[in-house]
Amino acid sequence: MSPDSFPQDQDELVAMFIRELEAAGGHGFICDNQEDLIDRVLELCGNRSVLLEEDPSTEPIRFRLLEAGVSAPSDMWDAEVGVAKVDFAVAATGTLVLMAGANRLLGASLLPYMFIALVDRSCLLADFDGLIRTLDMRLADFDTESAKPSAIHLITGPSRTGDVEMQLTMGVHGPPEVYALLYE
Amino acid sequence: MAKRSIGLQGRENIYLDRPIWASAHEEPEGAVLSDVVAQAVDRPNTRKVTDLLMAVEEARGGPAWPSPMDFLRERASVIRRETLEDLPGYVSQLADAARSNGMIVHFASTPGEARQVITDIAKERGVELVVKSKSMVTEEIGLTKHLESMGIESVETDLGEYIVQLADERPSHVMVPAIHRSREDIARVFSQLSGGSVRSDIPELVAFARQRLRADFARADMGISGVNFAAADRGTLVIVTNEGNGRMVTSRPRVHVAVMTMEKVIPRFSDLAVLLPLLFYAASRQRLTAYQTFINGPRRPGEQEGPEEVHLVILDNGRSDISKGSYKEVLACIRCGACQSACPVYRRVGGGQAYLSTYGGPIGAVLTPLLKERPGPSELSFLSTLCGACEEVCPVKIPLTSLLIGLRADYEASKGPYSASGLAWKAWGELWSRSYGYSLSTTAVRLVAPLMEKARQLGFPLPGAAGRWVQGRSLPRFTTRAQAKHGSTAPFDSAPPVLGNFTSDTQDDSSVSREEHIDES
Ligand code: SF4
Repeated sequence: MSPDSFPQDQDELVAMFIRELEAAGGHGFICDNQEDLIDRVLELCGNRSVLLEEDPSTEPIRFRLLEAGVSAPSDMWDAEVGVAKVDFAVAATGTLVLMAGANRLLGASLLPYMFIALVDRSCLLADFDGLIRTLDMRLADFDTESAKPSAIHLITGPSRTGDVEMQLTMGVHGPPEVYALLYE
Repeated sequence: MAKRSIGLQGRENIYLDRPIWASAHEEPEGAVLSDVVAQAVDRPNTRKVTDLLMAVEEARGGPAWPSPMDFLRERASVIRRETLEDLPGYVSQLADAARSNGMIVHFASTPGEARQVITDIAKERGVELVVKSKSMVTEEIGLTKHLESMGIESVETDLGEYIVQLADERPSHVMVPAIHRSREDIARVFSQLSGGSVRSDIPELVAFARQRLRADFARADMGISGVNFAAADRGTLVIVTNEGNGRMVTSRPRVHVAVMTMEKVIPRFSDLAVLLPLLFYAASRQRLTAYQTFINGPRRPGEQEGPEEVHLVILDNGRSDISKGSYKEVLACIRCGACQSACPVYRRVGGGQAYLSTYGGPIGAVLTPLLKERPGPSELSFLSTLCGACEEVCPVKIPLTSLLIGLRADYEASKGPYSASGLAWKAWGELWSRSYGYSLSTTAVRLVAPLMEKARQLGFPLPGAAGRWVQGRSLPRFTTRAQAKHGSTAPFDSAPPVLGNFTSDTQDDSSVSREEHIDES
C-alpha cells in the first residue's frame, strides 16, 4: 500500500479512522471542542467508577467527573470505565497506540469493561506502515535506554476470541467496549 | 500456604475423557503413531472438527495471494531467508540490544536448560503463582508440568489453552487450541470445575473464563509469554493477541519471562510493517489482531505500571544445526497455522493431537523430527498426502512438500543403507528438485500424485507405521489439492467462521474476526 493512495486531508483521515474502528467492533465520535469532549466522556461514564489517567490535559475531565459525583475505584481492577490519551492512531486500521511513560495509566485501556480513548486529531497517521516507521524512529531516538518506554500497545477494537467453535465473541480479558473520541 | 490459582480451583473434579495419548502430562509411551491416528479418526467429535476446519478453509477462499498480500509475501520470504543466513549473528545482536534495554537474557541449548533457567528465576523471586499466555515453545519444553512439580501453579490464560489445560490435553491447533471441543464439551468441563451448572452458551462460557482468570491476573507473581517476533536492532519483543491476555501477562505480574526459540528474531523493527500484516492475513484473514504489544524492557523510573524485571529466554534445541543444513527453511516459519487447516490429513484426523507432538500439521511433521530433543515421533513426515496445499498457503513460502520428502528419505535411510523405500524416496526427491524446483512443486505434486498412488497400489512400501495406518482407512492418500478440497459442508447456520487464535510463538490468543478480506478494502 503506497502512502499516497491515502487521503492527505485530515477530515478524510478522521472519517477513515472511524469507519475502520467501527468495522473492528469499536465506536468513534468527533468532538467539536473541549467542552463537547468532556460532555461525551461524562455521558459514556454515567455513574460508573472511572480509572482516569493523571495528566494536566485530563484535569478538566477529572474535575467534571468529581463534580458529577463519579468516583475513582480504590482498586483499579474494580474500575468499570478507563479513560486515557493515545499517542497515535492509525486511520487505515482503526488502531489506537499507547506508550508507557510517567503519568501514563495503561491499565485504563485494559482492565475496565469500557475503554474511552482520547484522540488528538493531530496524532492520526495514515497507515500501519507509517506507524511502524514512526515508532522505529522514536525508538532509535531515545538517547538513553532507560528513557525508552517499557511497552507500546497497539489496540484495534474490543478484546475478542474465536476459541469456542471458532465463533467470534467479544470481550475476553480486555474491554468488550472501545470508544475513541477525536478532538482538536 | 502457597498462593493457588483461582482459575484452576476445582480441576480435580474434572472427568478426563481424552485418550491417554492426548494428555499433556502423561508420556504417550509405547503409543504407535499409526494406531493413534486410527483412533483419532474414530473419535466421536472428529467428523465435526473436520467439517469445521473445512468450513474455515472455504471461508478463506483458498490460498489466494491478492495484491498487496502477494507483495508482502515476497518481501517476507526474503526477510526470513536473510535472517537464516546469519541466525547466530542476529540472535547475538538481539541479545545485546535487549540487555541494553534492561532485559536479562538467558540462552538455553536444551529444553532442560530452559526449564531450569525459568524455575530458578521463579524460585529466587519467591514466585507462587504464574499466569501464561499462549506459547508453543513452553509446550515444547514441557514447562507447566515442570513448574507444577516444583509446587508452582501455572495457569494458561488464552481461552483455548485454558480449556485444554483443564481437560489435561495437548492443544490441537496453533491458533485454536481447543478446536476439537464443542461448546457442550466445554460447558461440561466448566460445570465440573465449578461444581455448578454452566450453560453451553458461548458468551456465557467466555464470561466464566474471564471472571475466573481475572483473579489470577491480579494476583500472579510471574507472567510467562512467548514471542512472535524479536527485533534485533531495537531489542523489542512483539507479542500479539486477540483476547488481551498477552497484555495482562506482560504487564500485571512483577516478573515477566518471555520465552522464544531463536528463529523468532527478525533483523529490523521496520520489518514488522511486512511481517505483522502478513501473519494476520495468513492466520485469519484479519487485518490486525486486537492487540500488539511491543516490549522494550522493565518498568522505567517514573512509570507506574509494568514488571520490575523482564527476562528473555532464547531456546536453541537443535535449531542452530538446522539453520546450517538442508532443512533450514523450516525455520522461516512464523507460526500462522495456515498449513494446518489447509492440510487434508490434519483435518481428517481432527487436528493436531494425533501427531503426538507439540507441533501438529505440516509444519509439525517437518519440524518435530529435526529438533534435537524431539517433542514427538520421527516418522511424522508420513502423515501427509503431499498434495502441496500447505505450501500454497504458507506466507513465507516454505517448500514443505520437498522437506517432507527429504525427511521420508532420511527416515528410511536411518533404517539401514539399502532400505528399498528409502532409496525410492531419495530418488523421487532428487528427481523432484532437479526437474521442477520447489517453486513448481505444487504442479509437480499434481503430476506425480497419480504416479505415487499407482506405486502404492503396486505395493510401493510405506514404512511400517504409516503403512499400517493407510490400510483400510478412507483417508486421502496421495490427494491432489482439487480432491482435497472436495468435502463437507459447513456446520454453521450463521456466518462462516474465520480462523485466528493467536499464540505467541505462534501468536498469542485467540480469535476470529469479522470476515475481513484485505483485498476487498
Ligand atoms: S509453515 Fe505453516 S505455520 Fe509456518 S508460516 Fe508456513 S503456513 Fe504458517
